[in-house]
Amino acid sequence: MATIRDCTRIQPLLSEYVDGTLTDQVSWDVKMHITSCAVCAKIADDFSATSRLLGELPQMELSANFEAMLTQRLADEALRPRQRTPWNRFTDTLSEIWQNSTRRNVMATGVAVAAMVPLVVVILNMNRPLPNTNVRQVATTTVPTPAAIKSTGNDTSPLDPDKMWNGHLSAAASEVLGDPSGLLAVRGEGM
Amino acid sequence: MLGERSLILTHSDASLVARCQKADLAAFNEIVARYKNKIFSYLYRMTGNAEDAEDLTQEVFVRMYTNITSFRAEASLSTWLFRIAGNLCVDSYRRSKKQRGLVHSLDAPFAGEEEEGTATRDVPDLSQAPETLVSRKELAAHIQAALQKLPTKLRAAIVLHDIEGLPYEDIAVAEGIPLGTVKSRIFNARVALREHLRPYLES
Repeated sequence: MATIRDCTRIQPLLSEYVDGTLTDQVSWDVKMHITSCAVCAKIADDFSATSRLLGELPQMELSANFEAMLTQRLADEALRPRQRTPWNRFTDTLSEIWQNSTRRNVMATGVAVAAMVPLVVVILNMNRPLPNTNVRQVATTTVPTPAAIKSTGNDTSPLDPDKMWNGHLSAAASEVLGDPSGLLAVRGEGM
Repeated sequence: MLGERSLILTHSDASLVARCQKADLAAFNEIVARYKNKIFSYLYRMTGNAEDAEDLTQEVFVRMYTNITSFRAEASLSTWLFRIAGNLCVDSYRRSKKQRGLVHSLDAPFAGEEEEGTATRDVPDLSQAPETLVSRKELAAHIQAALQKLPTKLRAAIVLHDIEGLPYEDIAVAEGIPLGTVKSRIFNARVALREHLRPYLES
């Protein structure tokens, strides 16, 4: 005997059942249900009748001059100036190339090669030896700035920014040139 | 046998499209002759107005011709034409709503039925006993009125299936929706039509 639960499961399938698009097994289940359920059987009948009414609607007729008007409309469309932006021209060109199989293959190969170039550059750079880092070491040498000396209170001489800056430069230069004598530092003070 | 005939037609469609892509006007005219009635029928059932439907039908073929180079063989030609027609319907619906200054969902019934001057848009008195109907023309008018009461999306699905004879899969492609949504819309359309057309179903 059909139950409400069965109807809830079957009713959403009635439209497809009427259209014959259910699988054999499901169609059989629906058929068995509607033989014992008057409500679902009525719904299926109504769906079928609705579908039949729509299918039997009379064919609507186009006006006699439809094709003449269409031809005129196409002519008007052809005469209308087309606005071709640079992007339109670019996409039209791409479309033309793509439709030609030979050109399409060439373009695809070119794109693949272009995509590989950055990868090859990265790989080559990974294998290249690092440059001399002496300058970098000199650059990281800490030489106290006038502000730093002032803040620590270690400097007892009157502050002379130029002297401090020249001292800083000379110290860096002596390290680069490998001069431990400090002569360059003396010369730096006289500059 | 029918399958073979369908296959022959499909091959002919493909060759017509190929010729059309080379600006062969004779091929274009043949496509028009083959599909104009189906497209017009669909658009008439969607708009409820013959003049609007004819105008939109022309637009479908103009768009087909201007975009024929972008047609891909994944879908059939007829499905593609119905897709163009459906899009034009939506555009037309939105334009008419804008002109009237109204904002409605596409799930709402088409408001064309509110305009005067078109018999198909008049909502018949369904309390009238069906045995008083004397012609198929009147029955057709009642059915059209019932269709106009459906939300646009449901109407499109049921018209494409029951009137134009498209299978579920082609409707899914034409409407750009999943297969499950097609089945759901057809089911819901039939539930609604069953109510609107009850007197005629029982007779």
